[in-house]
Order: sequence, then C-alpha cells, then structure tokens
Amino acid sequence: MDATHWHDVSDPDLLAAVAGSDAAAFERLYQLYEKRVYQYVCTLVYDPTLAEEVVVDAMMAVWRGAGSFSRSSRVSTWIFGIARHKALDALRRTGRHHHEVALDEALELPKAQESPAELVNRKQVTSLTQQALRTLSREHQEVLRLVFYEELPYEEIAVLLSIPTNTVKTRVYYAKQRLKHQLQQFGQTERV
Amino acid sequence: MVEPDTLDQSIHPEGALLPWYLNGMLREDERRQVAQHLSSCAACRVELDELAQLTVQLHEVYAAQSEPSTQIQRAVFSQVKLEASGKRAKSVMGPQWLKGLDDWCRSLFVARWAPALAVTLLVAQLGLLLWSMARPTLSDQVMTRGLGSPAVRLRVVFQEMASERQIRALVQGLRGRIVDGPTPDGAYIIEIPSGDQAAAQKKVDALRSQTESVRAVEPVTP
Repeated sequence: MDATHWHDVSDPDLLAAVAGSDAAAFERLYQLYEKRVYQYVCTLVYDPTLAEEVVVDAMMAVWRGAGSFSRSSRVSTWIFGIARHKALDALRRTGRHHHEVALDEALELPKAQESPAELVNRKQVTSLTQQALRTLSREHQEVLRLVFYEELPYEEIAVLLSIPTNTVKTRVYYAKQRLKHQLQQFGQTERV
Repeated sequence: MVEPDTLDQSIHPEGALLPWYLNGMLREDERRQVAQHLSSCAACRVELDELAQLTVQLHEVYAAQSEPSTQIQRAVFSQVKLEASGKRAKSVMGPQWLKGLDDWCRSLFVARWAPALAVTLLVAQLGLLLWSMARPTLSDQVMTRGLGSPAVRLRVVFQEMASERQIRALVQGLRGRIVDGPTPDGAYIIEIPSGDQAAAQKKVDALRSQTESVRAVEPVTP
C-alpha cells in the first residue's frame, strides 16, 4: 500500500498503523506534519539547519515510538511535544539555549522609496508582522503559533509546555499585547 | 521572561478565552459564557476584532515561512523503510542469532570428525562438573561482591532552562551516566551506582532538591 491509500484516514488511525510498522502510513503522517513541525522547531531554535536535524530526530522518534501514543491528547500535540523535547535537547547540546533576537536585528523596515499605498498592501503587513514577531521572546512566539496557527486548545498547550492552564491564557494575552505594541511601533517608525 | 500567572484585574476572564473562542476550541459551556459576555462588553468585542485580524496576519506569515529541504524527507523515509523491512524479516524468520546458531549446529554434523568432537566435549564437561562440586562454596563472597556495585535507573525530567553544564554537573555529582533519552515526553534515563535502597533514595532526594534544574525524578522499575 502506498501513502495515497491513507489519505482519508484520521491522525490517530494513521499513528496506530505506524505503530504496526506500516511505512506507507508513516509517509502520509510525515507529509501532514513535516512542514508544521519544521516551522514550529524553527520558532524554538532559530537555526534552519539545526531545525532540520531536530525534525529528522523527532520524526524518527514518532516512527519508533508510535505505539506509546495513548490517545489522551491530539496526535499533533503528541508530535509537537516530541519535537519540542528534541529541540530543547539540541539547544542544550549546542549551547544556544538563551538566544534572543535583538530588536535592531529584527527591525528591517521597508525601503524608504516605497509609497504609503504600498505600505498598506498585504505583503507589507505580512512583512511587518513577521518582523514584529521576531522581536518577541521564544515563549511568546511559540504560544502564538500554537493558538493561532495550530489551533490547539489551551488545555493541550498547557500539557505540551508543562505549564498551568492559567499561565497559557496569560502568556497568550501578553504575547498578543506585545505583538500589537511592536506593530504599532513599526508603523510609527515607518511614518517618521 | 517574567510575566504574571494571573491577568490584570481590569481584564475580563472571558477576554482571556477569546483566542480559543475565535478558533472554536472552547468547551460548549465556556463558549456560551464568552458569547453571553460579548453581547454586553464592547471592549471584548474590540479585542475579538483585533484577534480576528491578527489571526489572518499570522496565517499569512506562517504560510510564507520556509520549508525544510527535500533531503531530510529522503533521509527519514530511507531509514524508515530499512527499519520496516528489518522488522518484517524478524517477524518472519525469528531472531537472526537463532538462525545463525541453527546453521552452525547443522554444519557440525556434516563433518566426519563431529562424533569424536562431541564425545571429547562430553568428557570435558563431566570433568568440569566433578571438579566444581569438589570445591568449597563461595556463595558468600559472590553475594558481597554482587551487592557492592548495583546500579539503579532513574527517570529524570530536567527544567527547560537547565543548561547542559548543569545537567552534566548533576549527573557527575552522583557518579551516574545518562543511558537513554530524551524520551518522547522529555525524560532522561540516568543510571547511578547505589549500595542499597537507602543510598538510592538519598540520591533521588538529592536530585529532587535541585529544583532549579530538575523538574521530576522517579526510579525506573525493571
């Protein structure tokens, strides 16, 4: 059976097939998660090459450990949990645990010759949002991604990050406030 | 990052749930509670609009992010295929070493000298048995040596911010070694020498007291 056979199968059933050493089921699961896991890991390690190493480690751990999935959480939470542990381990090994992005480094504002009309187009907004995101702490970037892109419930984020549910709510709230503040600052800097 | 675990008094509890109200990830009772609150709170309605706009912006950003190279997919798939075929072969044929032993035994009986060798081995075995029975027992000494260097395995989860240096210092302080990990749930298996149960418990307690670096410790039951 090839990976296309598994196209309409739910994630938990895919993982159950992977636990039975079905390589085609794993290929399908991999296709579903590779990009998401990679981008999530990039949020944690800031280094694309290291992120790729972590993805390989994490996905091999998914293949080998599929039998230990207990169905008490979503498959995505379980996979992101593995990737997170692998990423933290990689950061420890490489001594880059406390990397912070400097505001100046992130603040690559649009070119001066661009008109105000261009400033408000979607591409510009995306670019500004991306720059504003990069000024946030790793923890803030991480929760924003998990809530607004991965759409995980707060209970599962709490399990994934090993923090109380109330902390998840406050962290998301302050992350959003911080992002909004940065976007306003970038907007003002551009107008000046 | 230092931030409070509770929200400012001026922020409504329902306001903190808005991101999940927006992505449909609240329980039904929570969803109803937030909906009811929104009908009477203009500030939270503004907040909801901002969040909706932010969601669109963030999706644009995440969708535009780079993707991993195709090389890693090839690396993972080839490794998985290798392991999958290995597992299949094992399940069909049984352990490889058993087959090797079987082949070797069969080859012995093809040789002409095999019966003579078998008789020689039997005689040697009998002699060894008689000699060992005649010697005084050393069980006490063996027991002492055996209990002198047992090791226990601990499942340890370190704090996220614990550095490699801190972990190394802890493990070396216990004269232990990391034998496995991190597991899918982020634990490391550490083997430490311990004279008896009390000594092992002492080391577990010592590890647990290092709350700055250690989140959880539990002995691994064999």
